[in-house]
Amino acid sequence: MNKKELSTQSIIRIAFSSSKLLHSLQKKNAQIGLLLLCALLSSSLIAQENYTLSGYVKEAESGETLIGATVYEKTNGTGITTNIYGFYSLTLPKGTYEITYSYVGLQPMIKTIDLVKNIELDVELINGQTLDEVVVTAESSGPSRHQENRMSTTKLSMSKVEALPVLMGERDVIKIVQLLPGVQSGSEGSSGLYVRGGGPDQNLLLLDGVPIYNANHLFGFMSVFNGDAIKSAEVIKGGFPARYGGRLSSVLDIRMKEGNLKKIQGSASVGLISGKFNLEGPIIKDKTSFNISGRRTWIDLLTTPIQKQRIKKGKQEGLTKYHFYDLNIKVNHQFAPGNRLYLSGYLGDDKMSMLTKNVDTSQDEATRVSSEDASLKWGNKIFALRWNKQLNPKLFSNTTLTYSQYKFNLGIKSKENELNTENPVTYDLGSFSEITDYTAKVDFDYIPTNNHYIRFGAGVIYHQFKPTVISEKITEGSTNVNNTQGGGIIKGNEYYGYIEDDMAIGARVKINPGLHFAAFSVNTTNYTSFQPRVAASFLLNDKSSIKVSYSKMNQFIHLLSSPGLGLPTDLWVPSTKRVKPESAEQYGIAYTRSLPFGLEMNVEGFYKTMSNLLEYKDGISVFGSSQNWQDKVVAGKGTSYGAEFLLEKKQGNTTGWIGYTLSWSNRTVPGLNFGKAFPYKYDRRHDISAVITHKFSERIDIGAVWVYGTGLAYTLPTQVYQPLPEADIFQDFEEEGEEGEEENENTDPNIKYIGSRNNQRVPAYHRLDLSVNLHKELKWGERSWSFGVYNAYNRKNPFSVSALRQANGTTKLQQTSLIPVLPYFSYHLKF
Amino acid sequence: MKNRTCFFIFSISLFIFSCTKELPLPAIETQPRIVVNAAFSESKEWSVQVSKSTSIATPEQPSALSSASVFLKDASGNIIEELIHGSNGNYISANNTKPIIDQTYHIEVSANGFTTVDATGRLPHPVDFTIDQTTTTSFDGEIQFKVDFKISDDGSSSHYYIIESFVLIEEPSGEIIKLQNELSLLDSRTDNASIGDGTDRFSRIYLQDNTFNGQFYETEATLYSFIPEDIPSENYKVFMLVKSVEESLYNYFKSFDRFKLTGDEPFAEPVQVYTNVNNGLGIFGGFSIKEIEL
Repeated sequence: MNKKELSTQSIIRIAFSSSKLLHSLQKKNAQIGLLLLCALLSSSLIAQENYTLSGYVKEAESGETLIGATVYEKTNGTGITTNIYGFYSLTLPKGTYEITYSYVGLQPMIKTIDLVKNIELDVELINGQTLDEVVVTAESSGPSRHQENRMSTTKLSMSKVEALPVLMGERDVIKIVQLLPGVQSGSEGSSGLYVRGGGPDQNLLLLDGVPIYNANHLFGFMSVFNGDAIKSAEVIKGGFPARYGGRLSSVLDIRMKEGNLKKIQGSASVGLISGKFNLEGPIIKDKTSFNISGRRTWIDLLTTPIQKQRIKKGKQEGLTKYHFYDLNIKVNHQFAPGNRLYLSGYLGDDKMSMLTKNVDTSQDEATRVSSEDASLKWGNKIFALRWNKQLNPKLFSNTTLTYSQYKFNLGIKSKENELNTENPVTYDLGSFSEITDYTAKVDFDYIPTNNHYIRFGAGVIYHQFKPTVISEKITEGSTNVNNTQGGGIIKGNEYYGYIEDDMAIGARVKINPGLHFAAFSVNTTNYTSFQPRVAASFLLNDKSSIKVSYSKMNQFIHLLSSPGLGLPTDLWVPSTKRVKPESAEQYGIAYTRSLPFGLEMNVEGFYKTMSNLLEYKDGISVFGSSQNWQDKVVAGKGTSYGAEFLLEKKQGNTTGWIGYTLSWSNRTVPGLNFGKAFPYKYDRRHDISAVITHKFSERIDIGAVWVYGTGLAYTLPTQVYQPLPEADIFQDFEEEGEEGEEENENTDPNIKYIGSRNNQRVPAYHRLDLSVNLHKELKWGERSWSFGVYNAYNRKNPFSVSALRQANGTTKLQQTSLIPVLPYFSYHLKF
Repeated sequence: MKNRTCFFIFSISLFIFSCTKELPLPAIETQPRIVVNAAFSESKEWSVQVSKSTSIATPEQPSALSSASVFLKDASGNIIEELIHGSNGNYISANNTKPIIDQTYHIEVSANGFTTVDATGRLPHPVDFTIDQTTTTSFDGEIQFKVDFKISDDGSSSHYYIIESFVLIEEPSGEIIKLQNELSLLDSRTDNASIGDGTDRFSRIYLQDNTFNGQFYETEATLYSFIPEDIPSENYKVFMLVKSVEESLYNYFKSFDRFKLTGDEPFAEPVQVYTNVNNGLGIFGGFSIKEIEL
C-alpha cells in the first residue's frame, strides 16, 4: 500500500469516525451504513495492487473542463465519466493501456499509458468535424440512458435549448425543462415547475450549487437563468442521489460557464424585448479566466413614448414602466493542477412602476390634484466561493461558501391636494420581505476502484427570514400617522450530511445506495430527518435495462404563494413549532431501451406520498389580511402517481422527443373540503410534449414544439341557497358595533354551494411554437438570425376562469387568456 | 391596502396581453335541492326554515318552500310531530313543543319534485360558565371591561363554544338600545384565526375544548364597548354570554363567517360553507346559552 492510499484511508476513516453522520448511521440506519462501510473498506483493500490514472478532461479551444466526458479502457472494459468539475479517476492493474477520452462534438483522443505508478494526466480534446452541433447533447457523451444506473434524470445541453422556439425569443432552460415528461408549467407562460404532483416550492433550483429562491423574471414569463451564461443543466425528478436535499420534488442543477482560458471570445444578442451579451477569456492564460454575461429588457424604453402619447390624448391614465436586468459573473483560477478556486455571482432585479396623476375639476370646490406612484422591485443576489482540491488520485474535494438572497419591495405613494395649497394629504405604503442564506459545505468524491464512486459531505445553512413587513404613513398638514406591522428576523439553522456510493456489481447491476441526514433548528424548535435513498439498474441486455428507485426527501422551508402566477410576493417561511417540515417518499420503476435509428425509449412509473403540505385556508390568499401567516395555512397530505413515456432521438439531423405523462395528484387537508381528498390544482391527467429540431445544413435549422395538457382544476359553485337566519342564534343589534367593515365583504346574502374543491377543469391547454435559425460564418465569428412564432395557431389558452353572477341572476364563466399568437426575432453574434 | 395591492399586482401580471371570452357552463347539477335551516334551543318552540336552492345556471333566486312535509323525529326514528307551515317557508310546532336538552332530533323534509332530505341534531347542555372579576377602564373615550371568566368543561365529549357580549344602554329619551361589544381573549387557543379577518377583536369568539377537555378554561376577556365614558353606570347593563353549540352548527358558523368576509378575492379559493343535511343543503343543530350580567 503506498503512502497516498494510506493517506486516503486515513482521511476517510477519520472523516467517518468523527462525524455525527456515522453515529447516526450506526444507530438508525445501521444496515445502510454497514453496507457502505464494507464497500468502502473492501474496495480499499482491492486497490492495493492497482494504480490510478487521474486528472481533468478539458476542451482544447477554451480550456473549460468537460462534465460527463468518458474515459474508457477497452481491454478491461472499464470506464468512468468526469464529474461536474471535469475530474476523473480510473484505477487499473499495473500494465500498459490504451485509454480513450471522448466527448460528443469533440474528437476522441487515445493515449497509451504505461501504468506502473499513479499518474495524473490532464487531457484537452479538440473540436471534431463528424458530429452535428445541434444534435450534440451532454448526455450523448456518456453512456446511453439504459446503461446509467440513475433514473428520472435528464441532462440538458445549451445547444438543445438554443435550437428550440421560445417565448419572445428568450432562450430559457426552465421552459425546456417544462417540456419533459413529469414536469408541468402551471399557468400560461409561467416559469414555475410542478414536478410529479409537487408544488413550485419543492424544486431545488441551483445555480453553481447555490439555491435560487425566486427564479422568475417578468412575473414568471422568463426565468433568471440566462442561457448565454449556462454551461450545463441537469434535472432530477426521482431516485434522488443522497447529495441532494432540502426539497421534495426535483433538483435543477445549473452550472455556469467558467470562461475561456485560451482566448477572449464573446457574443451579443438583440431580441424583441431584450438585449444581452457574454464575454469570456483568460486573465492569465491557462490559469485564470472570467465569464461575464448581462441582460436587460427594453420594454420600458419602447413603450414609454407610446404611453405618453396615449396619456396626452386621454386614452390612458397612468404611465407603467417595467424592466429587468441580470448579470452573471464567474472567475476561476488554477493554482496548480488539481487545485482551483472559483468565484461566481448572480445579480438580478425586476422593477415595475405605475405613475398616475389625476386632475379633478368636476366638483364645486377647488380643483383637486391626486397622484399615485406605485413601485414593485424584486431580485436575487447569489455568490459562491468554491475551492476544488484533488487531495490524491482517488480523492477529490470541493469546499464551498455561498450567499443567496431574495428580496421583494412594494411601495405605493399617493398624494392628494387642492391646487396651489400647501397641505396635501399623502399616503405611503411599503411592504417588504426577504430571505437570506449563508452556506458552508464540503463535498468529497472518492473513487477507490472502478466499481465504486463514493460521495460524501456535510454542510450548514444559516437562514434569515424576514417575512412581510408592512408600513403605512399618512400625513395631513402637520399631522402624521405611522403604523408598522410585522417585522423581526426569524433565524434558522440547517445542518446536513450525506454519503452515497455508485456501485457496479458485475457487468449488469449498478446500485446507488445513500443516506442524507438533515437537522433544522428555529427558535427553540428542532427537527431531524434521516432520508435513505437507493437507485438500482439491471442491464437486461446490451439494449435495455430496468431501473428502480426509492427516495425519502425532507423540506424545512415553505413557500406561501399565489398559485400559478409566479408573483414576487411569494413568501418563504421556515418550519416552526406549529408548521412542521414537509416530507415525501417516492418509489419509481423504469424500463429503458435503445431502439434503431438512434432512438431511445424510457417508460417510468412513480408513486409519491407527501405530508405536511401547506395550503391556504378557504378564502385566504397571500394578499389577505395582515394576520400571522401561520394562521392562514393548514397542513395536509398529498399523493401523486402516474406513468411517463419518453421517446427520444439524439443523433442525426433530425432530433427531438415525444413525452407523455399520465398522472393523478390529490390532496387531503383537514379543514379543507371537509377533510375529503380533492384533486390538486395542477392535477393534469394527460400531458404531451412533442419537440423536434431539424438541421437542413450548417446554415439553416428549424424547431417546433407542440404541447397539450388537460385543463387545470378549479372550483365552481353549483347551487345558491339561503343561509340560516342569524337571528335564530345571534341577537339583533343596532348597527354600531356590527362587524362588516372589511373591504371585500360578501354582499350577496345567499350561500354558494361547492360540493367539492377543484370540482371542474378549465379547457385543455395546447400550443404550437415554430422557429427557424439562420447561421452564417463570418471571418471573425458567426452571426445568426432567429425567427419564430409562439402559439402559432393562436389558441386562447386559459390563464384563469372566473364565475361571474350576472344582473339577471345567472352565472357566466369568463376565461382570461394571456398570450395570443406572438412572433419574435433575435439577432445573435459570436466572435 | 389589500385592494390596492391586489389591483397593482394583478394588473401588472396581465399587462402584457390579456383577452377574455365566455365559456359555456360545464355539466353541473341543475336540479334544485331542499334547504333546511334550523338552530334550536330549549327557550324557543320548534321552528325550521325550508327553502329550495337554485342552480347557478338559472336566473331563478332561492325561495321559500311552503308545500313541504316536515317531520320531526326522535333519535329512534319515531315521529314526534309533523311541523306545520307558518309563513315564508317557516315550519313550526303546532303544539308549541320545545327541544329538550341532551335529546337528539332527526328532521326529514320532502316535497314534490325534490329528493327527500334529512338531518340529525342534538341540543347540548348549557355550559358551566362563571365570572370571577370585572374591572372597568376607558380607551379613546369609550368604556372597556376586563373580565376574568371560567368555563368548566365536563369532559364527557367534545364541546364547542361561542362567546359574545352586548350592552343595553338607556338613551335620555328612555329608549333602550342594544349594542354588540367586540371581544378579545388573553388566551390564544381560539378558532378565530381560522376565520382570518386579521384583527384581534371579534364580535364572537369561537372556542373548542380540544386543549382543555374535562378541565377548567380560565382567561381574561376584554370587552370593547361603544359606551361613551361619560354615561353613568346605572344607564347601561353589560352582558357576557357563552353558547354551547353542536359541532355541526359550530362548523357552519365558522365557515359562514369566513364566506361573508371573503367576497371576490381573486387569488383565494372559494369558501365551502358547512352543511349537515343529507341530499340537501343547510344546517340543523342545537345550542344552549348561559348569559351573565356584569
